[in-house]
Amino acid sequence: MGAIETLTILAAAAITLALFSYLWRENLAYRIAEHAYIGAACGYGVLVAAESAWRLLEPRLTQGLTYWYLTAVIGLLYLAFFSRNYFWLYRYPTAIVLGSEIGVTVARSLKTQFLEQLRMTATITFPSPFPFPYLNSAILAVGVICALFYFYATMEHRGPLKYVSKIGIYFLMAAFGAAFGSTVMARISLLIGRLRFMYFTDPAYYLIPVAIALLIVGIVLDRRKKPETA
Amino acid sequence: MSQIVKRHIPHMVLVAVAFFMAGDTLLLEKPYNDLASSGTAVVSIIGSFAVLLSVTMLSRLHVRRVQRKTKVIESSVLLICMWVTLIWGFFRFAFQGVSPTKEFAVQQVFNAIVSPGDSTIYSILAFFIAAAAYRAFRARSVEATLLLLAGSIVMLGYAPIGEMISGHIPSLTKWIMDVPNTAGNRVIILSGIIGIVALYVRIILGYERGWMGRGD
Amino acid sequence: MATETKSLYAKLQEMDVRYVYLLILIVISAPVLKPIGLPLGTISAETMRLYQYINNLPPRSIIVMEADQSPAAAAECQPAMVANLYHAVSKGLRVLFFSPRTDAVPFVEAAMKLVLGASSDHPNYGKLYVNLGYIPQGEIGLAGLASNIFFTTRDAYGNDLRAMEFFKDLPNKNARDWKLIIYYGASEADHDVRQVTDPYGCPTGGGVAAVLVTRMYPYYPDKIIGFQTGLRGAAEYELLVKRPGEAAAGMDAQSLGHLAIVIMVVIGNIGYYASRKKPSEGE
Repeated sequence: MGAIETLTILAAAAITLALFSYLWRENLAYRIAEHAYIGAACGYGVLVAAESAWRLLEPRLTQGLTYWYLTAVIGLLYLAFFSRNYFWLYRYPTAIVLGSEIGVTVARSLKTQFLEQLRMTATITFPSPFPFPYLNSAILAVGVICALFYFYATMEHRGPLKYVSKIGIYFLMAAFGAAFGSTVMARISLLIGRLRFMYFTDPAYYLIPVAIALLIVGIVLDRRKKPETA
Repeated sequence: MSQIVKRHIPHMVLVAVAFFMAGDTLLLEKPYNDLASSGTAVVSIIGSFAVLLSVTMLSRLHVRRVQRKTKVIESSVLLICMWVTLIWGFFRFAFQGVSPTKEFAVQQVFNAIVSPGDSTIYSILAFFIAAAAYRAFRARSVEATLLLLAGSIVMLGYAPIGEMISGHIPSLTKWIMDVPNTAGNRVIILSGIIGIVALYVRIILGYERGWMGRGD
Repeated sequence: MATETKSLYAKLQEMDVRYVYLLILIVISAPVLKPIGLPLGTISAETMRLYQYINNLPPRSIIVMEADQSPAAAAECQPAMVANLYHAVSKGLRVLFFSPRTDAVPFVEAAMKLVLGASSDHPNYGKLYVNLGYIPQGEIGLAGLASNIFFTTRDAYGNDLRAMEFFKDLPNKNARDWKLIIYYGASEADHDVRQVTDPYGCPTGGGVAAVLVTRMYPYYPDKIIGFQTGLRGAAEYELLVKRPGEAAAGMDAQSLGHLAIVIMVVIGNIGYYASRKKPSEGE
């Protein structure tokens, strides 16, 4: 492994440990690591975005379609955001991007996320075991209708509507519970990934005893400070 | 004149682009679709320039902090990491034609700072979730109990140990994900899309002007 | 003056939270350092459907891999992407990569180098594998690519797409020629269903982070034909293609981590109810 790759891994390990130090308490090392990440991420993102914009623009310019320079001019109007007098120029590129987003998503969203969702609710999707093959789909349909009634605000939830929306909230709570379980799984997976990097990547693991030593020093200094500030 | 140029024309541009792009999703006419494809490229190029805003905002904020001598070290680190990456990457791309995704130093910055930083910041949440699970998640009502029960079953169902504890846990997990979870998320999608379409209609009709930002 | 003795449960409730952090660190580190070897168990239906769909594709079918994983989500999505790529390569499928986010671009390179041994300099690059790189504007970019496969005109390395053998025999030159689009990431797969599945009939698959999994089910199995649920799903796919890797190695720690969280929820609730003061006792 070359010297630069070694330094890269050591830097990655140092950033990892500095960010983990937040679990002890917020400290300068954590803030430095956090700011380094924000700066580097912003710089990297801008580079890749600029390269991709050039890749879209350059073939058209080499074909002699010089009016494509206008796209760069309109894109630069974003910087008018920082002007007091010419702020309104910022609205042009925003209008183009937002209008495009609206046009691309609206018609297709209404089909995919409204009509198709209603169709899939009304059809048999998840077969249940014998002898009730339609049970799961029936429960699903009931759950969707009841949960929709929970969000229905035109009438007060009294009488039968109260019980319908109660059933709806139970379905929603089960969905949120599933989301909670999935989120826990995701975060633990990330932690496993980080720990595997720290424990098994040469030479990252050499920083672990250094970090433990610094933590012990930090704890001792903290304990010594406390009686003076009390 | 000024209101027309400052407000009405941007609004008309938004409406025209929205209808033009919506037409591409609904019509199958080759000349129109080819024009819309070029339009998409135009939007992609224009939208890429928005990253200039992030660079400028971060630079302004942190240069001001350095000038006021508050959090000098942190702000300096941010500015150095950002501008060194940018300057070197642009130099190599503009003058030597080396793509940032292939440029050695830029990739080392990604591997050394961006990748571990992003991963670690999110992985810390595992500890916070554990602490919250222990200190805050209380089954105080039927709904909360249901949430915790569903969450616990799903957590155990997705881990191999769940099937070892009981063979019914994976089936229960599958049922929870297939039926109540699908019902709940379907409702969220249905409600969400109605809200989004309503918002977009308000923007097109001019009632929603938040996207125009400050000023007249 | 009477001193109030606190019960064990009350003390546990007021314990410094950093002990909980330490406990989690130990519980997850131990199986990482010394694997227990718990069997993975039954392969989920969602992963199996995706595997069978890819397995039944004829050679030279086009699958699109949409790399939307941030470095944070890569811990879960990257093993899935690698396993799927191994499968696609073994079936002789054509793979088209693109990334709607800037920080996912290196992960495509990493996957290609791990599975194929090279990226743009692979002998079959341009014939069986093409990397379009970063396509800006997320859903707008995807809509553009789905409606016109030459939308970007160049690949990630500046090569002209029309000169590549990959695109020579495509009848429609849009998403109708695709057999599957697989989304890797933690944002949303809804835009794939909206812009690719419903208009062009190409089904969506997923190698998604677990946070997104609950949002996949409303589209499953009609629009999203199958998906890998976080690290577990990636481990299942690795076993199906007989290439255990990062995901399979992390399953023991996943098990103990989940068990620890569930136990903490139970103990926390028991302690909460046990340590609540009954009004009559204090009077």
